[in-house]
Amino acid sequence: MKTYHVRYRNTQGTLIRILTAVQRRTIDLPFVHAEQDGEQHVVTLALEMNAKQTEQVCRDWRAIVDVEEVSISDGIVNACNASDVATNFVRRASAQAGAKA
Amino acid sequence: MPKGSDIVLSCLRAEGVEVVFGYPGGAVIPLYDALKDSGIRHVLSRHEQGAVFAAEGYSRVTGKVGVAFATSGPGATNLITGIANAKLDSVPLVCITGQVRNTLIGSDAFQEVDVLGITLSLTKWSRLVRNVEEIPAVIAEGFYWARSGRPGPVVIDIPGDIFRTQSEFSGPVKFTPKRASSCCAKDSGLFLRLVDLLNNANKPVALIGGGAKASGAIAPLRSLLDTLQVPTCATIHGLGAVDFAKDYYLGMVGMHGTRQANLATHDTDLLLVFGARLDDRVTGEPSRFAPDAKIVHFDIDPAQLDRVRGCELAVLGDLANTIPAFHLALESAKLPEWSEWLSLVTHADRATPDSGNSEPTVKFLDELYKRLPENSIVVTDVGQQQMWAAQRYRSANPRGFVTSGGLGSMGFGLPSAVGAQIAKPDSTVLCISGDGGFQMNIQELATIRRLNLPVKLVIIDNKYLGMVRQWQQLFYNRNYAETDLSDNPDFVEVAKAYRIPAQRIGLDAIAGSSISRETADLFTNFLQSSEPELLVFDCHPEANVFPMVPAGASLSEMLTEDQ
Ligand SMILES: Cc1ncc(C[n+]2csc(CCOP(=O)(O)OP(=O)(O)O)c2C)c(N)n1
Repeated sequence: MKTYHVRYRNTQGTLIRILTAVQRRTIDLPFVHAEQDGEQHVVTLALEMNAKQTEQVCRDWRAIVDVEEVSISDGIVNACNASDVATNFVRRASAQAGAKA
Repeated sequence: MPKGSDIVLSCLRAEGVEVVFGYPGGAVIPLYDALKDSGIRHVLSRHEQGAVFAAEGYSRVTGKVGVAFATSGPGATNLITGIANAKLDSVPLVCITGQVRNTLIGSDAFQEVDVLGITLSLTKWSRLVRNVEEIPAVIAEGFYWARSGRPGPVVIDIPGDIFRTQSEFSGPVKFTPKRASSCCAKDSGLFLRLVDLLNNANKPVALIGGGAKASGAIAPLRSLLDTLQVPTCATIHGLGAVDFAKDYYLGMVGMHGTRQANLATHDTDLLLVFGARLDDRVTGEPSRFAPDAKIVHFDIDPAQLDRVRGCELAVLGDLANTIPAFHLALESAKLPEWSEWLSLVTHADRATPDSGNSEPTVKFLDELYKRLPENSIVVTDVGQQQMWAAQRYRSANPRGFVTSGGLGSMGFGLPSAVGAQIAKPDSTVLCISGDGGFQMNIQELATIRRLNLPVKLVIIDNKYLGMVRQWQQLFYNRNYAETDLSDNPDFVEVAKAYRIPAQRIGLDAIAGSSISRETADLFTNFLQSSEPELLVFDCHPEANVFPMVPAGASLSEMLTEDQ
């Protein structure tokens, strides 16, 4: 598993285009996190892909009009951070749900 | 103060738009209302799919951006096939769709669909306009992306109330991209490596795709090929890019390519690919495509490189720049002689057997083709007739062969011939359809009649969904499940109902070694008439297209008629 960082301009549909490039190849999306980073946004994805899939998906991402940069980092560390983010998010969401009730 | 619709039309004018193809409806009434003073010609199709295919036909023969209008909901969803078609065939297209008014978006209002969502995976770029002030910037950016790099479809969705809103307008704007387009063609080391690969190649082959035309690189490409003198073949979209008369030209490659082209591509040790996506209709079984070859891939779209087979060298950039740069690098190189390889691949024993050309439909098409004036345009639908039309195409008009290659969408022929004829009113436009595909957009006969477009319509009538029937015959034990069209309407009478002159000829008209004077006159008059006209050719119901590379086979494993 590796972690992929796609930096993009947060224009209509760009995030979905980034995700679709993965999903149309029926590659699992176990973790996705998108956030603002300065003037741009970054989406972090943890993905299990072989070398050919990696090349193709990265090329598809780069071909998206509002994608600025694609980088890959070692999965383990980032996946850990990622799961922190994911847990926080779930907690926040359930807290809100509780508040409403 | 101008309204949103006036601003849209001014911006289209500024982008050089002269003609749009479309179909009105509630959400776009204000846009249509403003058309009369806009200086833009609107062509009313009889179905939105007709409009978008016509816009593509217009674009394919001119290289300009095709523009289609449709209303919200069903109008927009009827555009989808055309948008997909434009994506796969790299056609610059801008679709402007009406949307329900801003305050209703997301409420499942009457005729509301999420056009942006539906088209995301098909478009290169899309926007839902949220206020009238952003119209100039959105249109400028949309046209920029439709044309730039690998051209493709763009959708601009505009809520009905925005068309009606008045706004200050200081004129159309220009779009400058934030990201510089990627191109590594300046890397001179790249071409030195390429020259090195050529020097070590014993059996080089060049494969030309539609990208060579889209980039306007035909002249430099032809000059490069004249220098290289290597066996050359073309994909269906590459037809017309290379002069057919050249000794080194082997014809079309792929599922119904020529034997010479397919065998050379299979045997090559260095394949130079210029602007082709290498889809499986071209490669046969991808894992067995050009098995001994190193591939050098010239393309503007980084997403195409390595998609099918890893390439040894990728030359990323506009072919209009990379081909001359490559040619320049060859000037100081002393290339090997490949004449022996060329005579091997062009040898008669590698040609398609004569029997492959004995199909009467082939003869019928040859007779029509040889009477076509220069710079005519041939438009096809999809199926057997498309393959015969491609196999027999001999013109060197780079934008003269218009077909739905990537999507293979039946119903493309008739409406795209409308667009082609509007773009080129003085050219002969010959539209070849099957009896199945003709009925998919038959309503566009009304468009042809109203505008008196002198399109020459041909139906190759085998009373079957011929291409599917061929597969059923060869691979499904002749189980012709749901491909029988023997109860077709009388197309001659249908055309006459649209007030389009029509006639039918049978196999007997072209039997024998040469056609009769009467038939020859019929063909000549048909092609020269200043009116639209339909000619139905009753072909043999079980005629097949050969050679054929079966699904899953390599290019060297072709079926021919005698097998
Ligand atoms: C919209 C669409 N539906 C279905 C197909 C599948 N298909 C490919 S060729 C073909 C048969 C076409 O028959 P016809 O138009 O009569 O042409 P022929 O093959 O007989 O020349 C079909 C059904 C397609 N390509 N496009």
